[in-house]
Amino acid sequence: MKAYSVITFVFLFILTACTTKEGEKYQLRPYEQVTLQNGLQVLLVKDKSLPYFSLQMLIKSGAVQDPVSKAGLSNMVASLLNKSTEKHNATQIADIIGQMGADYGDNVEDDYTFIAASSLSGQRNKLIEIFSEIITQANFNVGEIERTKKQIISGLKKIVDNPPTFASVVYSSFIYGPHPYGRNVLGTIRDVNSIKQKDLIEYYKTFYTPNNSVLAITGDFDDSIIQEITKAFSSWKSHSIETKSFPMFPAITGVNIKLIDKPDLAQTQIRIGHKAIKRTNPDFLKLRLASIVLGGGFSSRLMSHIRKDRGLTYSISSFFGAEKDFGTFTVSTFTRHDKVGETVSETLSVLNKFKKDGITQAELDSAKALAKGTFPQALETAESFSRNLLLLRFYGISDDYLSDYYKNINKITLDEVNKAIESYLSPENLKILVYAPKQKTIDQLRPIGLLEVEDYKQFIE
Amino acid sequence: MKSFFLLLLLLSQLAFANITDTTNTTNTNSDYAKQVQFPVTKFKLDNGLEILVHEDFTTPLVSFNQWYRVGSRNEKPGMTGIAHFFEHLMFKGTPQFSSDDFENLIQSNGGTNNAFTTYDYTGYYVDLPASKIDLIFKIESDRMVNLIFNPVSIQSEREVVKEERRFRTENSVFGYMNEATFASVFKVHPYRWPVIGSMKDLNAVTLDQFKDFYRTYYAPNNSIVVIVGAVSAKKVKELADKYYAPIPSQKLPELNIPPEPEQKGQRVVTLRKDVQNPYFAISYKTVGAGHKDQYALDLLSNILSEGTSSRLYKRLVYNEQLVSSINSYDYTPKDAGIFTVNATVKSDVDLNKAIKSVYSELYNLRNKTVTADELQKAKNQVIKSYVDSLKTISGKARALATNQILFGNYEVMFEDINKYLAVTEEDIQRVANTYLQPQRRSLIKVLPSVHTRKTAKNSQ
Repeated sequence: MKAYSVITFVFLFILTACTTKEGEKYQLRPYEQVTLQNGLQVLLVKDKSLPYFSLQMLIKSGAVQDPVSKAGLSNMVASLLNKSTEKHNATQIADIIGQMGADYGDNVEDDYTFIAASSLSGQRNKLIEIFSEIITQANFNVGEIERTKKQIISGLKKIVDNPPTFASVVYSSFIYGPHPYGRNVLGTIRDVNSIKQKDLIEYYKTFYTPNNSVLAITGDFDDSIIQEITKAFSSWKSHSIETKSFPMFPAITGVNIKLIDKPDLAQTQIRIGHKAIKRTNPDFLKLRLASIVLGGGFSSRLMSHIRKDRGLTYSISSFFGAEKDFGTFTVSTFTRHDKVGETVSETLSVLNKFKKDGITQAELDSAKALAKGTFPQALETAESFSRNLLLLRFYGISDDYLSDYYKNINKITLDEVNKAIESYLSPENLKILVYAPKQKTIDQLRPIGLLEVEDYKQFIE
Repeated sequence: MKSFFLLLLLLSQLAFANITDTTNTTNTNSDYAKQVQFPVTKFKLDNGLEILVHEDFTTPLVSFNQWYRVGSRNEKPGMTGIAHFFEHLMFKGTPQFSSDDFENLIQSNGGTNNAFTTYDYTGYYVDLPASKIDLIFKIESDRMVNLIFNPVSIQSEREVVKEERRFRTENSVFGYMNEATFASVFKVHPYRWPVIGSMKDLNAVTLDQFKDFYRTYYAPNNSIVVIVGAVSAKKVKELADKYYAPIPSQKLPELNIPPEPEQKGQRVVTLRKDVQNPYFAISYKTVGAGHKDQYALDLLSNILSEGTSSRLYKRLVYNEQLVSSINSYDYTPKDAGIFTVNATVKSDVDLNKAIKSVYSELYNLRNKTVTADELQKAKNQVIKSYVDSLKTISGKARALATNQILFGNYEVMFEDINKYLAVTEEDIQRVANTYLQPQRRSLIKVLPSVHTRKTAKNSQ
């Protein structure tokens, strides 16, 4: 179910990039936008280079809408869409999609949900039919709910066996505290067990509406597409939705370390970070450039100092996250148990120096070149382009973000980037999550900051 | 992340290595075979370097791929992992471009690069603005011959590679199980050891051994260059003449790999780990890349496990609710392949019950033909994934390079769709009977270690 989320992440990550000549508009693929009578916004990106057809629906609600004791609700709604509708049961839907050779997937994030399907172009009409049925006529059969609950719970238990994923999930709850971004989108075992059919139906009725959604259609189609889509979604009706306000991001004072103990681990996972920015923050691109210099590639400061010079890890990266509400600044890495203290303290000293001295003009120029050089790749396929358009609509950012990308990157000065680093990077106040055997690592961590220890088992109860 | 893609590539090989063409069948899918064709210019320098170019001006980028015909297949016991470790050293610089220069030059010209190693070959690639193509010719041709060997940087990189091994294998259930699978299926062939090598060998490999390895395998006549993107074949030819033509060819060693003997009885390996759920993998030796049965085996795997309408998903995930996930694939490197079914069993389920259900589905495939609908579905899915793999210039470049390096002829890829379309229900049953027999099986089980099980019970 979550195979999809990897793809999303990549697109979000690259969304920043840009193109070629100074001050020039980046030439976007042609696209059209129409709004249907029921309020559904539809984007059309025609691409006849290969024989495929793709539908991507963005629902502008995600896991932050889950009620306090029902974490995992939005994910369960999305998982159940293709398990029963007014017309078909789960097996029939699976067979219809399978027989076409089509792909179907859902991906729930904190802020939004993607439902996507694609097929060869010859199957276009059938794909539209089943896709619209899944989105508008899901009926949450009780037997399917129970089955899905068990499936999700076994998925939650399994996360512990995957150290990088588990570390990221626990880091998120450590750093966000009670903020809804701190919850695992999949929920908790207790909450998932408590979810009832009426909760699912209520969520679905509230948020799966045309005025809360945008549909991108990509691939090989002709002008009759609008009629076909209008017909397929004609029964779907809009209604108003309350906007939700976010709680405060918890303040961080000093260096706080949480060590999650699992004795048999063969390697230590490390996450270091603090609060970052909202996606609409005007310093977004400046921080993306700063992030490239700090931990965004093979020649980054972290890669060069921690991996290349000291051989402490195979991979280290940093990222200034930007969400609807505050994202996090995060450094991710891993190392052998006897080098945990050195890896953390060396990373902190790279961060301190980065904040104190800022970056050089040569580093900025190189980061700009990379941002611009990789931009065409981010928009290379018609589907990735469509996905970018959908996300911009979600954040309420104009498509000029894409066409002016080069121009805006070029405008950024060294002084602006260094000021942004100074304002948003805070190596003196941050949280560190370490997933390791306690006995082999605790003494190395004590001198670094305030330390608390927890057992991994409490996360699977 | 040098070789970040090692495992990824291993698992997705099938998507690249197989699929498409134009011969006539009654199926409308043969139209797709025509639609995915694209023109390629191929030429060979006197020193043996083969170069493939596909001009594609839809984005202002090029994907440059230099692959060498050397992988863990060329290694000897005691030196396992050298091909992959050496791949890391290719980033350590030459007299002309130091290691830092190398990374900085690529980034400051807007490029991204990486590399990977497989059983059979090693690939280096750069995606960058087409206007910078000259630079990458200069760098890649330079490091084919002028690499510096520095004991200090080798020592530091040794730790990096060991960290990579811990990340992929020691600390990953599937990595661990995958290593055990290859070691069980292959007893003679070099595929029995992992591409990343053993920790012991990683600790032991010396500077002199690296030098020998470099001199032996990094030669123009053991390499291909594949370029897809906004550049003309004419320009590529000029650059190739300028940068690569002066490099002399070398005599390559003969490789005598004894064939893997036929397995006569089931092999079972049980591993204990501090895991929350049991895991298992059921594997069989199959065919090498390009063998005619590869196509039927891919479709068979599709019928078993692709998507929610597949046989194993419907039975083990949906109906019996024994496993939380189940997959299968037929991975086909050069000499021999592995057909694997692997699954994560639910924590409160008896592992053997899940294994039995898989056996029963494999029995059905051996004893009864699949339906025409099922086979058609599998063909549709395979063609769809083929089309998806060609949406980017780097995807096209990888497909060309894989076929060129394995078969010495990229055109094989354009025949794949029709080879899939030609597979019959009887072919599926025949390959099931040929390859998926119980006595040819390796069963790998990963079970929660004793103390984990106890605590799991206490907490319930």
